[in-house]
Amino acid sequence: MAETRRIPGGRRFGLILSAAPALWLLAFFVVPLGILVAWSFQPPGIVAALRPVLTLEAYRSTLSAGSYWRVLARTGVIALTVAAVAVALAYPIAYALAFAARRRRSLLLTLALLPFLTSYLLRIYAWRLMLGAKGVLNELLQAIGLTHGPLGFFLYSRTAVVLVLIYVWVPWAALPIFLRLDQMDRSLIEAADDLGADRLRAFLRVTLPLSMPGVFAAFFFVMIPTLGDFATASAVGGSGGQMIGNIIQQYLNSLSYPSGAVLSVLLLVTALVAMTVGARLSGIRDVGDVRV
Amino acid sequence: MSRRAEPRRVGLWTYFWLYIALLYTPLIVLALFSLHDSELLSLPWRGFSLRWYREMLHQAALLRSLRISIVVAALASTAAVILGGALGIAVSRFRFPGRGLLLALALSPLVIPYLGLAVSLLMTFVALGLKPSIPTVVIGHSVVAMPYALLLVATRLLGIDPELEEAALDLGAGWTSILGRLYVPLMGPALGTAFVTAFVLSFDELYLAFFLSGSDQTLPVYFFSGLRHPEFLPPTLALTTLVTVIVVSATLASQLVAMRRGAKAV
Repeated sequence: MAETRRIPGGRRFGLILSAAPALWLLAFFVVPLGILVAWSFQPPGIVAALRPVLTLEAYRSTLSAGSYWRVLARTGVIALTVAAVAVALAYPIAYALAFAARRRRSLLLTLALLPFLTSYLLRIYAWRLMLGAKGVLNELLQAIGLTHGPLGFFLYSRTAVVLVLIYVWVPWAALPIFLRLDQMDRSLIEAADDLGADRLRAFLRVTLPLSMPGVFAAFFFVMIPTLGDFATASAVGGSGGQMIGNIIQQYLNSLSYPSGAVLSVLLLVTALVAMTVGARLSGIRDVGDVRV
Repeated sequence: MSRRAEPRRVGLWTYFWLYIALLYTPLIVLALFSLHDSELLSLPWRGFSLRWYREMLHQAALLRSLRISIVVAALASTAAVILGGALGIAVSRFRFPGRGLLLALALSPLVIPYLGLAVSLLMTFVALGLKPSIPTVVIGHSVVAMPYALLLVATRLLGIDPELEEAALDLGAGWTSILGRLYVPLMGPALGTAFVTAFVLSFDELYLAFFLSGSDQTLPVYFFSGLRHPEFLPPTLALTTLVTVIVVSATLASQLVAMRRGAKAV
């Protein structure tokens, strides 16, 4: 990062510039997270206002229900699976764009990223049309004579949730990997080539390790939002595909704020642990290391 | 430099185009269904019609949600660009106490599930006795869009030689004139990109809007609520498809213009 020399008044000017954003973040990010924790210590049930009480009752009653642990575990497994598969599917795309594309490179890049600019709900809903009982896939299978009636198992299952989430996030996963590969010093690969490494070896020993920060960034940029998803599960998940977000949404709809707060705290702690591990692994330390 | 033989990479490109085909098929199917002459969004196919596009013009609630989405996105991205831009200048050009902590804090909305932040903000507003409405969504979206503005601005400024400020200072410029006459013009394109990024993010965001919009439903919230009421769906689908087509063609057009210009420059 650019070295900032000591310029008279620069320190004070930096403080002045950052005062408003700092206050904004304090008021609308830090304090709300504290208030969430405060809600989680209220007695469970329908609570209309925050009172000066401190009890673990909401934690006890919410967490003693084994079903929530199952949902939380399922959410974690779904998020990990989606992130791993999305990264694996996106890597060759990023590689092709960074190293193999010559002419029309920016057009191909736009083509690969464009679906991410379309509506998130549209991308989820599209799969209801594709996978439904009278959907495109079922009709197609019947038309070519492979099946004789609609197959019901496409929709409303955990598999459907995973499939749709992968579809939704895969273009986003390609971006950090592409940016990383694109910044790479190409002479390193040529050096590997000159030293007699074949293409696979050069990839495994040079390109892949150097692109790992992008791979980790992609993994977490997919995993974190997936942890808090509820739209996908309510559109294609059925009862077996529910995620923690669906339960949180139900609690809030019924105004059971303390229990909703407990599960939200759990969700945020999960994300925080994942993020800490991820930051450690990916070596992102300063703003210069992250590029949009 | 000797040119190496370019490998053909047939497998890689086959995969690329298969991937693109899979990525686009559901979207194209969806766009076709918005032209379907039937109340049912399912097969068999009953022919093309523009009826849902006509119908959507008469859906007051749907059009209201579109207007709200535009207002929210415009306000939230303005706030995000001003706050994120100011912070971007501060962290990329100056060392000051608390810089590292503030930077980490400002970037953390990138790695928090929006649902968690939405619930926190909702509970804060409930505790304060405030009803969810347009301003509360704007606040939520400004917080999550800020890191993008910050990163875009900071990345741009990191590439600029600090000697520029020194020269300006030597010439007797004050910090406010450096801000207005040096940083803002230098950031120009990054500010535009930041605004568009924040706008697109806010316009399509569901989770914060779901909990913080109250009765001022944004388009995604209206769409999501409509999933349980099949009769709302076809017009909503038509409108969302139309918006998507506009966004996509604008992106492609700007891309093509940039390519033309690049070709001419060469």
